[in-house]
Amino acid sequence: MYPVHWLVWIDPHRRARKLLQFAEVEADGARDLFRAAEVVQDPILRRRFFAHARDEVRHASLFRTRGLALRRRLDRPGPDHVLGDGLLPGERGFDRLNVEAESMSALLAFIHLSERAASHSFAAYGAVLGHDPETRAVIQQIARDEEGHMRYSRVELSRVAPGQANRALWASRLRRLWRAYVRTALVMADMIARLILTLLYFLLLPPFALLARRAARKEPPGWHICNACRNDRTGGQY
Amino acid sequence: MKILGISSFYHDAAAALLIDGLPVAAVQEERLSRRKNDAGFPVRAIEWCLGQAALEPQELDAVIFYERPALKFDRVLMTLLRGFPHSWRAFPKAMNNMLGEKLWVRGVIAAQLAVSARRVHFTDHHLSHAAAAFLTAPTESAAILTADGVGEWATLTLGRGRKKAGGATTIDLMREVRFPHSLGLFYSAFTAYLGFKVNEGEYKVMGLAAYGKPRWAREMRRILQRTDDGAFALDLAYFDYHRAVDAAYSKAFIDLFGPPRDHFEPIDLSTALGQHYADIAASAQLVLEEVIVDIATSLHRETGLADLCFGGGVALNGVANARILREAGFDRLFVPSAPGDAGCALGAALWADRILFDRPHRDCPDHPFWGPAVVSDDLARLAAEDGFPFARLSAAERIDQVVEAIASGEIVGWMEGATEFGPRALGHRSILADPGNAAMRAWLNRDIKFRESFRPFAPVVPADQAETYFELPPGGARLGRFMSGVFPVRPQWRGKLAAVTHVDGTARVQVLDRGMAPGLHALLIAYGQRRGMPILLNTSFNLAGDPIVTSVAEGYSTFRRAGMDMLVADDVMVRRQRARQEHVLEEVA
Amino acid sequence: MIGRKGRLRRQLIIVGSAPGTIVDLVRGMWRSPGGRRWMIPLVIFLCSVGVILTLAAGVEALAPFIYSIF
Repeated sequence: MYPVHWLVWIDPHRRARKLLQFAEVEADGARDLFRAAEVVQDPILRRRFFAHARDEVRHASLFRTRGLALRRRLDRPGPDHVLGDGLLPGERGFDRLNVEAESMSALLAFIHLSERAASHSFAAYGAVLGHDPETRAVIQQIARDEEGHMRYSRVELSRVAPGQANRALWASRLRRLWRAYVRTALVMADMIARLILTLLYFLLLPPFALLARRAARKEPPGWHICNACRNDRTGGQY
Repeated sequence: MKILGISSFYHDAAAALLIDGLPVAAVQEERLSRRKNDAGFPVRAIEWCLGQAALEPQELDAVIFYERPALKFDRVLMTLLRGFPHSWRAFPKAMNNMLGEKLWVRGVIAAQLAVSARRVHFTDHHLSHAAAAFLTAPTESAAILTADGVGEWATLTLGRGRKKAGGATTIDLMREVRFPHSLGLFYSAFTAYLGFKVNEGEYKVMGLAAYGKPRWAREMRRILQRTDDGAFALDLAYFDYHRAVDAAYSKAFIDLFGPPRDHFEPIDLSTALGQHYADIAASAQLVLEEVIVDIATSLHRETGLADLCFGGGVALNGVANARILREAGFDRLFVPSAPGDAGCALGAALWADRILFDRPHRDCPDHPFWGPAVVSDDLARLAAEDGFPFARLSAAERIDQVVEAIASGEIVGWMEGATEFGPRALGHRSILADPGNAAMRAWLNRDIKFRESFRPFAPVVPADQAETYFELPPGGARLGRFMSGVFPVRPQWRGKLAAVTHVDGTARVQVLDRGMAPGLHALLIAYGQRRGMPILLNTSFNLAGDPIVTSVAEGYSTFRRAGMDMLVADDVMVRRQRARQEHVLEEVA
Repeated sequence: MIGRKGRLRRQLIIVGSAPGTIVDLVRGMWRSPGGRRWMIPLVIFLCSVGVILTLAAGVEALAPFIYSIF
């Protein structure tokens, strides 16, 4: 992956964009973790989640500050998001984590694996950022924190689910795989649906569009008789 | 009769339960899901509402959805056809959206709640707004005005309503302005242009407007024109929302007003560019006010009624509301606590009860507290587990301690009873602070709420003393009941109310009636005795990007995250001990 | 308490109620004072596409294959 990472991070536009996206991901992760701290009954876990969430807030701020600094040097910063952003596992944070619906062991296993993926990704990014020592310092600092999160979540997993930690981790790995497949399937489905609907648009709509334009000319702006007056006692859908 | 009202799928989903004509429960989905402006089907809100009355979904007599999905589909499709071929990018997304779920609301409700599809009914979006405004207001006869982005086709409606306790109810919407001509979308286009999130950042535009001068009013009037019949029309060359998915304004708009604000960069009002954006905000605000005040004035002339009920997202614009009250000729202006789409859940349920099922009107309790209540034992448990000092206090002790804390410059999280229904914290989920400390505003914005420095804070004042401090027009106290009006602070008090007086000398004041929130009222009186002014800074109990807190656990979490000094949940009080907390955090990090 | 149903079962209930919605829509357009009758064939066609989209949403893992219906 080294050449790919190098290609990704050598471009200053992409670098700034990625850092700002990471800031969003970390901020979302912080929200999920604060939520976990709110719903968990175990006081030790609550403190752990709270401390972890605060780290994520700090990370969001570090990424944002560095991302903005890079962005300010660009003449044309470009779009905030482009196709393919966030596809790597370590770049999606907790990936729409539904905290209330998870068991504590599943949640911890999920956090552990997410942090591990993030830690590996950030270590790899750090390795190709020799040309930008400031960004590398930020990423390496955060990668170290992610390792700490990896460790605490593994320790807590063993504490809350003694003897079942490995099972929880495997279940979580399978879920991550399944999610990755579903995500790909949905992206594909979305692309196919768009293609079909775009074809329909150009093949089917033109005559109707002509009629619609003609109808529009008959509707001048200004006041109209209320739609609600027509059939407001039927409770129907139209 | 048991009726469940639902609003969802666009922004701010909510559910409301009505039993025998009276509200029993109402809550926004975001307050339970903890996702700001959650638009998804409000399963949690419905579940909570039904739980309040110990009902199963099958025991409901009717479920009413706040708009007509088939009519909405008609509008979406017609708009895309009219925009052909420029709408080609929008078409797949809009059709995916509508045909994937939103058109099949009857089936979605039947599937989610396991109720017969025959018991699922629909009403018009703006009729829901009208019902939410009129049927909750303490008036028997009123003119009705609704305005928002868009419902099915209507974007603004005018009408009148009549009701009497024990008697029949009528709501007649007489005429409407139709999409794409929309005051709400006009304002939203500027919200997007100024770098704020649409449907969320409109408050910020209003706050920013006070810093600017309406230098662009002439251009604004060119793109928001008046029609000969007294309505209005947008020059659609300047907008893109009717033919694009992710753009509110067009290239012509940028050519006219300059490049949009970079949302990554803060607005610096000391620069020419920052001032330019403030001027744009001021101009959009001014022209919106001119149009809405003029329409309300003609409605008053036409109906001759003394009261106006105003609903829809535009009714959240407190500056415009105050102008309507002052200039349109009405004696009283009623804006419900939830005038936006969330409130439509309650409005639709009330409409179904009074009009669809023709049942006699019953006056609704005049308060906004329809959500989940505080469980103070939870706070005692959390504080004990985390080693925070806490105490159970009598009402008098609680007030003494909170007054003392605020008077010495501390910031207090205040949770009491049931949550508010609607976007404002009206005294049950509030952050309270000293209104006189000018530095407090900057500190709260920067360190507590993590939001833009230009945003103002609101004061809360007992109703019988409001006029001493604020220039309220006749009817102003009523408009201030749910914090729906912005009024001038009397000049002699502006210095002493520096934290809640906006740059233009105004404040979005909550005028508190004792009966609505007795605990907060007693606190204000006690604070007045201690400091000479019975006024507190009252801002919503949340951090930027989060919904207002609902449960004690969320309040406690926010209290810790924001670095507040004290948290009160009914009879339990927790204090911050900075040194100890930092130690605990270091221990676990 | 709201009983939780499987996603596919929920989507099937939605699909089952779709004909009623389409009838409402067509009836509304037929009676519309705005002259919408010409839209009815297009609407029926698009709603049929919508039913397939809804089914695809019900089995998200198989969603790409559902489109092979086309």
